[in-house]
Amino acid sequence: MEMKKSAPSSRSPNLKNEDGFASEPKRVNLKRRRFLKNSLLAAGSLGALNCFLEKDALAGDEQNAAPLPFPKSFADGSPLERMRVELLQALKKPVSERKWVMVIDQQKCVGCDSCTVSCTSENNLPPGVVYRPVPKQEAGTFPKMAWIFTPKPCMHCDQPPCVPVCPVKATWKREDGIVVIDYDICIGCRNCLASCPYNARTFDMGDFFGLGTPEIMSYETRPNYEYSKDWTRKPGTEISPIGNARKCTFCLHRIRVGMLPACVTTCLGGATYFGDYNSKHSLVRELIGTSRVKRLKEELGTEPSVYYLV
Amino acid sequence: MNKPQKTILFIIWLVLLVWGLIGVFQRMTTGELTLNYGSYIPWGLWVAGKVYFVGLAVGASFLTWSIYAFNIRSLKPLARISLLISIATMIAGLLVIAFDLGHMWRLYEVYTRPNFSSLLAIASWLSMAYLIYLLIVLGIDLKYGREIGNVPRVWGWIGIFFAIAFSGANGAEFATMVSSPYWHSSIGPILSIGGALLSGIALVLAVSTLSTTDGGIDEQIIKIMSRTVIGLILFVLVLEWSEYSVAMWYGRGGDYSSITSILFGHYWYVFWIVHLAIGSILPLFLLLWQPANRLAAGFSGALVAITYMAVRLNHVIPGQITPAMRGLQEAYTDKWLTFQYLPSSTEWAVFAFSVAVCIALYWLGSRIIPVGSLKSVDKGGR
Repeated sequence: MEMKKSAPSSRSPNLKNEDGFASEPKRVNLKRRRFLKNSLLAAGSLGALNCFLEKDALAGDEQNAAPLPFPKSFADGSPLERMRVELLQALKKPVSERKWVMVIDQQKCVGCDSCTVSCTSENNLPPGVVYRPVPKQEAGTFPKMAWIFTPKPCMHCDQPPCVPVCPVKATWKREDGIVVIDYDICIGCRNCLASCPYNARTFDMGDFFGLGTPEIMSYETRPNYEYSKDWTRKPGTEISPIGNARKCTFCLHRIRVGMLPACVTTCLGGATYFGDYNSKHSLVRELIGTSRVKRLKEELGTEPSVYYLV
Repeated sequence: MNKPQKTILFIIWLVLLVWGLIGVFQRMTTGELTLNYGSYIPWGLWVAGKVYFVGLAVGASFLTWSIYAFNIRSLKPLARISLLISIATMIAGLLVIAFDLGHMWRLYEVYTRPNFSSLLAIASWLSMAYLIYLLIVLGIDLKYGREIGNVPRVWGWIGIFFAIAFSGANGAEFATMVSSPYWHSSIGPILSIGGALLSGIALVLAVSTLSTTDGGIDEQIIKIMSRTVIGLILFVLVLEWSEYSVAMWYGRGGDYSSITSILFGHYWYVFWIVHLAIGSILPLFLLLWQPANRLAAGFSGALVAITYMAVRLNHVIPGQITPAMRGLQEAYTDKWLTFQYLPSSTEWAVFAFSVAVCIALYWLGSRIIPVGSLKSVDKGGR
C-alpha cells in the first residue's frame, strides 16, 4: 500500500531544511551534516512505521483500539444506550467474530433527513457525494395516502457486486462485514459505481460548495476522518478522496472508538439501529428475527447487511 | 484523392485537434469540474468512446486475420491498411479512457496490482496485449513483403480468436452488471462482436476507397467488401431487433424503461435518424444499388463507421438512467446526482482530440510504412 500522498498534516514531521533547496556552503560543518543525516533517518523510520500502522488501520486490526471513555450520554434502558453497550462488548471480540448490521424501521422513520445531514457533516461530504439519501415515495391516492421513507446507506452486502469489479483491488469486504475503499489505490474508474444496484456509491468530482464564490469556507477544507485517517480536500488538486469512489462506511472511524454511527445517534424517530448480528442477544438480532423484516433487491443475491422493518 | 479534398480533410483535422487541445487543457487544469457525468451516471461519452474505438480496432484487424487465416488473395491489399487503422484506433481508445479516470496517473496500477475477477482489468490487459500483437503482426507483414501467403496462417488464426475474446470481454464488462437490467443480457457480448466487425470493416472500406482515385482500387475488392458490410449491417440489425423486441413485447421488465428512452425518449433521434436511417438504411441502399462504385462504397462505409458511435452511446448511457429506487434523485438535490446526462463541451473536445490523434497516427503510419497498391494481387497489386 502506497504512502498517502496528501499535504503534510500537523502530525507529520516537516522534513524540509530551513534553507529549503539552497546550495551547500563551501565550508561543510560536519556536526550539522551528521545531525541532519540522523534526523532524516529517524524521520524516515517513523514514516515507514507510520505506513505500516496505516496499513493495519485500514486492514482492520482493532485488537488494540481502545474505546474512548465517554460519559453515559443516553438514558438508561433506551435503545441507544443498549446499542452503545452492545457495541462496546462487540469491540472486545476479534474483528472476524463481529458482523455489523443496520436495521431501519420504516414505520418510525419520519423522513426528516437528519441522518443525511448528520452523515454529511460527520464525513464532511462535498457536492456530488451523499452516503445516506432518504428517497420518499407516495403510496395510494388522495385522501388515502401514505409516505414511504427509505433511508439508503451502503448495504455492505455479503455478496457485494462492487468488490469483484474493481480492477485494482481498491475495495474489499472486511471480516466484520464493512465494505471499504482504499482512497490511495482507487483509480477512479467508477466501475464500482456502475455495478452497484443500490446507487450507494458516489464519486468525488473535486467540487466545493464555495467554488465560484469569493471564498471557500474553512469547513470545506477541514479534514474528514473516514477510515481513521486525515483526508483533506484541496481545491484544484487531485488529492484523494478527490477523484475517488466514496460511500457509507458505517462510520468505521466512530465504531473503532466505541461510538455508534452518526446516523444512528441522530435519528429523530429512533428508526435506525446498529449492532453486531453475531451477538446472540443483541438488539439488531432481535429486530431481524421479526416478521416485518425485508431487504432491498434480495432477488439479486447481494445479501445486504441493511435490514428494513416495513 | 485530389488536392482540394486533401486540404478540406486537413482543415477538418486541424479544427478537431485545436478544439481537442482546448478540451485536454480544461481537463488537466480543472479536473472533472467541467464534465457532466457524475455519481448516478458515472459513465458517459468517454467510456462509450473507448468501446467505439476498441470496436473499430477489433473489426479492422479481424479483416486482416481473416485474410491471413483463409488466404483471401483478393483482399490481400487491404491487410496492411487494416492493421494501421487498428493500431491507430486502439491507441485512441486507450487515450480517451485514460482521460476518464479520476486518477489518471494511477492507470499503471491496473497492470501492477490487477484484480482478474474484474472484467475491466481483463479487458485492460487484453487491450495492451492486443496492441502488442498488432504491432508484432505488422512487423511480420512488413518482413514478408509483397509475397502472398507467406505470412503464416497461424498468425491469422490466433488473431481471430484473440479478437473474439477481446471484443467479447469488452461486451461482457457491461453484460455482467446486475445493477442494470438493460446491460445484463447474454446478447451483450455477441452484439459487441457484431458491432465491432461492422464498424471496423466499414471503416476499412471507407479509408481504402476514399483515399485513392477511380481505378486505384480493384473493383473486386470493393464488391467483396460491400457485400461483407451489407451482411454485417443486416446481422447487427437482427441482433438489435432481438434485443429491443424481447424487452418491449409485453411492455414490462427491468430494461423496458431504458429501451423506451432509447426509442421514444428525449434523444430518440440518435437511434432512429443517426443510427438507423443514416447509419444503416442509407448505406444499405447505396451498397445494394452501386456495389462496385468506389464513392458509393466509401461513403457508405464512412456513414456506418462514424454513426456507430451513436450505437455505443445508446448502449452505455441508457443502462444508467433508471434509479435504483423511486424518489432517489429527489432525495438529495445536487447537479452531480442526477439521472440525466448530456456530454459537456469539454467531453466532446477531448473526444475530438482522440479522433485527431487517431487520424494523425494513421496518416503517419501510412507515410512511414508502405501500404502498397490497392489493386488486386493478380493484377499487379501486392
